[in-house]
Amino acid sequence: MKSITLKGRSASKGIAEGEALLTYDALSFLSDISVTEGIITSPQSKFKGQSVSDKILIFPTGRGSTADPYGFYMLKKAGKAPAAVINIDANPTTVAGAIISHTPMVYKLERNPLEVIEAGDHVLVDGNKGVVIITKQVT
Amino acid sequence: MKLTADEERMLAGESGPGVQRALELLIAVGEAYEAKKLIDISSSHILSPEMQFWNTGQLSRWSRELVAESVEGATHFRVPVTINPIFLEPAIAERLGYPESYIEEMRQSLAFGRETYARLGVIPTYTCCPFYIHTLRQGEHSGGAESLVVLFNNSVLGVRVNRESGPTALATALTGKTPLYGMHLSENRHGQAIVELKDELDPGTFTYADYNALSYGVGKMVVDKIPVFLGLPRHMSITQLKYLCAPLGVSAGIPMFHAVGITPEAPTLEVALGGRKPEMRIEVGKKEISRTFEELCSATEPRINYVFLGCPHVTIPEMNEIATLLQGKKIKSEVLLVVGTTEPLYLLARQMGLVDIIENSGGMVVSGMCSAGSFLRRGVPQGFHVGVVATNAAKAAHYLKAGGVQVWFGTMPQCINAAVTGKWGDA
Repeated sequence: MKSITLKGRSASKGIAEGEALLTYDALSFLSDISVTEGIITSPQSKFKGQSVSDKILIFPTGRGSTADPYGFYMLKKAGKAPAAVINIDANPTTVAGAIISHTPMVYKLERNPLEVIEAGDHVLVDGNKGVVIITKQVT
Repeated sequence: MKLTADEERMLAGESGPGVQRALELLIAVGEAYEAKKLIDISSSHILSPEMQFWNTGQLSRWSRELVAESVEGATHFRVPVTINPIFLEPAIAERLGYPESYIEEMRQSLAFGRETYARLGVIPTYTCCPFYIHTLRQGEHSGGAESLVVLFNNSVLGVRVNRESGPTALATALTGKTPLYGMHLSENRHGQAIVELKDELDPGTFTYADYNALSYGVGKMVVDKIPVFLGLPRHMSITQLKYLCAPLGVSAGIPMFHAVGITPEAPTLEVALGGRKPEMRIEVGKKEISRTFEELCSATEPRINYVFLGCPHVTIPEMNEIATLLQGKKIKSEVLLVVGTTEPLYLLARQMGLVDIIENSGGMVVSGMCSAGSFLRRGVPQGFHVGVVATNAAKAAHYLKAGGVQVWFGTMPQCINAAVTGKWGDA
């Protein structure tokens, strides 16, 4: 089993691991994900219908404004939040959402996570150190 | 990020867990913006999820849990803090015939918020126009959320404030700090897109709706660049300026605009651009404004059920205009006309007899509530028929349309006429 470690910056503390879910959309936790079900709902997303719950959610950057962090918090309260978030660039509303929902979040990794990580890989996100450890699926 | 001794103490939990979490949040958000440090602010403007977004159901309970966690152990806001409006005034919910249990839940959520923030020393403005009440000066640094407040403060008053999120705004109020990034830095405040009004337009005769349409249309064109308006009348009123501000916050993501000869950081075009070349040049004429008027209307049904005025909250001159238009007239019983403002202005308008005129015609004047009609987009009780809205606010029209509500956008006289006849466009 191949293991890759990527260093980056931490946006929100904590350690979590799980199955990777990748999307290439800029996600808003208020507008693009159903709070009660934890499913991506944005009509234009190719990943519509996928569940983010307990996944290591990887997407380029967040979008949204004032109330978006609340969406992330509600998702956590509903028990449907991702286990951790990995972004390329950190949108401050995503950062705020990750923090108030106590979800580990790492960004600005030394390599593009969307190129290194594949759907289904096992990923550990260490939001305390700003490190991601990827265990590739056996092919 | 380098912290001061005071910030280190807050981070160590000396002011309680709420302030500690607030500082952690500000540091993390600041680092996402590459801020080198936190700065002191002299004021902040907060909004409240349990009062402005969700005041019933599970989302309301979770909102209250979040707020309780956020302020845990805090005894007082560190700076003067104003607060945004509420979602729905119970008196209106009663008038609409909402279930009593629903209204009771609303009251509980609102009471929680009022008590929590009162205990922390909030100035209970419950308005999107806190600058009517607690006015800041050019160069002051503020925290805050609510795009209209940010736009007005930055553009019209020269205050320095970022478009923060709800939780971050609360964090700035609890700590008296905000990260040094964005609008707090002079180099980020320059104009990037020139907006010229064509000669065919006579802005001196613009209605509030025209300013709304101009603002909304320009926002769509500039997207994320700071616009510099040329050709606006030097002596624009505060009322007109707030209508120039508000739609820019929804059709664009920007925190600021310049209007040459009008706004304090734009005495000339050169100064507004910071000596740089503009990245974009736009011309706006009659065609662009008409197109925006059409674009903001989503209704096909001419019979209306609501008129919302006061997005942003009306000034006394506006209250006068509304009363003049309604004097001696009766609003159709099936139409609910709501004029939104903030408490101090409401009290004065009451003394002036203006509220009586509006109420005698069948309308309502409400203080402290959001006039964008969000309550028709979200949290609507089962079986309640939403109906058609008329408004002169582009921001309200945009949100209502996005929420699937039928809306007519037009001038204040058109809206009031529709309230009296029951139909949009009837002479």
